[in-house]
Amino acid sequence: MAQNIKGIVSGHSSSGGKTPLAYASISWHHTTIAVTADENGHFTITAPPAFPAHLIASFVGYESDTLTVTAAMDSLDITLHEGAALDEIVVTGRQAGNYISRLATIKTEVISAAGLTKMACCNLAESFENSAGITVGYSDAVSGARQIRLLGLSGNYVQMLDESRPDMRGLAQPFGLSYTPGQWLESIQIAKGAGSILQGYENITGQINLEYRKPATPQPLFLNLYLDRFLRTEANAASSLQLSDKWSTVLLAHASTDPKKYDDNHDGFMDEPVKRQINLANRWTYLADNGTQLRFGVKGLCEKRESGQMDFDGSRPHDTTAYGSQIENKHFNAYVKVGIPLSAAQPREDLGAVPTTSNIAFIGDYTFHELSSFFGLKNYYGRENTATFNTLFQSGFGQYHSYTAGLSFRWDDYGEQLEDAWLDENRQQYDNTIHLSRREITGGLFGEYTFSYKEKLTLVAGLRADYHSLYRWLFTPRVTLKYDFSGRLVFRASAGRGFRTANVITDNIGILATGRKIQIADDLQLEEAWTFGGSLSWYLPWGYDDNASISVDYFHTGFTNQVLVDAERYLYEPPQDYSTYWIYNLQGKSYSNTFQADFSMQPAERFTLLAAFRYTDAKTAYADGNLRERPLNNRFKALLNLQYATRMNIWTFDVTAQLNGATRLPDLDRNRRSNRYSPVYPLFFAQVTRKFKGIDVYIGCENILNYMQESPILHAGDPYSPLFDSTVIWGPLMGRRIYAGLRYTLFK
Amino acid sequence: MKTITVIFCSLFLFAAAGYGQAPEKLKKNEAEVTFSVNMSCHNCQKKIENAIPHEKGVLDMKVTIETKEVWIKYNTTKTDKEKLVQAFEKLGYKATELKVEK
Repeated sequence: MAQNIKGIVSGHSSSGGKTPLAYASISWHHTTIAVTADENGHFTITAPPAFPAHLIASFVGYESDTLTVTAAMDSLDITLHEGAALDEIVVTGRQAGNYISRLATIKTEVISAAGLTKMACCNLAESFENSAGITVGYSDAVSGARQIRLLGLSGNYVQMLDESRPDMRGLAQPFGLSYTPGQWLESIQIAKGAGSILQGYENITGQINLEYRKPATPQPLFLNLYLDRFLRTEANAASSLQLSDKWSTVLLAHASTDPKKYDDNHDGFMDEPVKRQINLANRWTYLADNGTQLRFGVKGLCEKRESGQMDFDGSRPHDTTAYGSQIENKHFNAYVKVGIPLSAAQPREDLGAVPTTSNIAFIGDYTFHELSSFFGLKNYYGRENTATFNTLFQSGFGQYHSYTAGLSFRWDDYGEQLEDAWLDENRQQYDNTIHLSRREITGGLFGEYTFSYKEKLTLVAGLRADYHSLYRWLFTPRVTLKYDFSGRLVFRASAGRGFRTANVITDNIGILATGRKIQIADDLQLEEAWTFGGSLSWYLPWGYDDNASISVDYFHTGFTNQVLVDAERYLYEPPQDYSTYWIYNLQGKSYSNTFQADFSMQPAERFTLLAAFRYTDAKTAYADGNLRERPLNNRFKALLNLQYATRMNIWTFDVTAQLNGATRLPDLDRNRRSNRYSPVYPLFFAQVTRKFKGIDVYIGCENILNYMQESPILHAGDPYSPLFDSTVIWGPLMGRRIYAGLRYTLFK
Repeated sequence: MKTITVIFCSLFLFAAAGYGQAPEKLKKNEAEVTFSVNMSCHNCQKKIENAIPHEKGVLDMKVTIETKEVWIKYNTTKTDKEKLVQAFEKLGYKATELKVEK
């Protein structure tokens, strides 16, 4: 038997070049034997106690690899591939579509590449249909803006991340979900509760991280075409190119159009806007011999939507004979990330834990967003310029300790103008121009400490102190804990604080698509909330692969301050005007409690089952101080997803059933009773995918039962009346949607 | 509501029906082979899964990335081990047969 085993670790093999990975970590699984490669990737490790043994090689930014080593092998050649940076999730065999990550410290639901192909997944808004935790709904029946809800609260309180970099914040928020084509993504991670402080203080209910197709993926061409019954046409392309052993790039392109007007509910209004979108991104990676990584990229998009009554003519805005709306969005983002390793990795007893090398990272980011729109008589224009700069230093000490510390700086410049206009009952027109421009400069200092003990216990405690030019000092403490009882039962808990500045118009874009006056308090404060929660996950030896899981979680979010939007004030403060949206600071309590249970298993080979149930209790004290159920918030959602694939996944069949709970309907119409609820309704989805060599062809149907919300627009027949309102949306606006598409992948 | 209940119930029944299937035995003209393949990443796996199932005579395949093993069931009248090795070669991988003791 060999006394020592030698080998070399290299990075990102393409058919040609490999780069040695300096200071990669190598260890035997289930032992304390661990070494670090030298600067040329070479290593020598003592033989394991017994053969065959599993050797684990890992390097920051690469997917860890496990190698089965037999006694006959004395020289090893290990190649690692650039991969998921957020957490090390290695899924093998048949990939589950949605699953609860076992390794992440915070409760994380992962929607994998397999999950992203389960449905049409035109864009991000459609990627969450198999997730009970997230509900996606329209903000109104005119703009087509989609809003997600997590933990019973608006998506505004979720931090969207693009490979750990904040994205779709500010003015990009209302339409942001349609700005990420699902086909550009490799996976989505949904982390519920107070997360890491490294990405800032804005995460309140959770973080949704998007992992894009990687530059180093050996797929020179990916092409997707999609067409549905409503003539929505979409094309996506991705090209990952390995230019040399150091440089790689990925080009991402998207073009889509919804060219035709539909009015299937016969209310005179288009069910969805007609729209056009072009979206391009280019990302680069440079990996130097010494382990330095450089990543940078740009993204640009423009989108135009037109909506309103069927006979509205876009060339005649503000036409009082036909109500119409136009929205134009332009978005640009550029970023650069540099990661430099400073020292060799420390041998660690604890495998699969936090990185052990010291390294320093710089992240710079610039975003421009412009939204110009009109809704009937109302005009809204917003322009945002945001620049951020972050420095992070990451290191560890001893066997079990690691930490990240850093500095951050953000400059936000918003120019916003709302020309509000409305008619009273006597058709008298009123105008009011509101300027909402503001500049925020925030400088912060932060630290996060991680204690991880033998894959059993992980504790992450973080604190940031930010100085905000408008709101002074903000302290953000957060803590997360993960304890693995037996490898089969995992407990997680988290608690933390979060802040955000409300963008009152874009956060509530739907209020523009109404005949009401908008009344904004002039003392609006920063929104502030605490979120606490915990979860238990059991992994059970059930089913074909002996890997069923049951998971339950509970989260509570309590607001210290919240910016409220209230159209029901006339009900409890009678002299108040009945046709006004009041926007003001929370005075009393506002909270949300969410309970969720998830079950997944593989009852037979290639047959997976996923069931989930969520219950939400969200209440807010509005201006009179009385707690009321937050309107248009699903009390529960239940879902069941079944997937069956034939051998080698030649055919894949997917069926999803959803049951959507009742929501409280706001009483916006003086003629109706209060405390009304929307009906409970089911939605069914099905898709069949056939795999050919290089090409997947899919055909499917959304909303199979053709369920549609009846008369979604209040007073649709009289859009210039003070009671016209299109925000009371709780169900589908579009009927049965049959679609077909194809995906072509060229492998290198 | 009744139709909804029926649909949900049938979905569960459909789920239950698939449970507990026994592994299939080899039929006439069927053979199986396990190869050790020098693949090291998920993309190699994707690449193999994209191409090998569409080779003539391949009936079933399983890729285990941790052990770098690929198990294939094939129709002996349409292909053989050599042809399968060649198919891996075309993709840029070296496949060597692993003898499995029964």
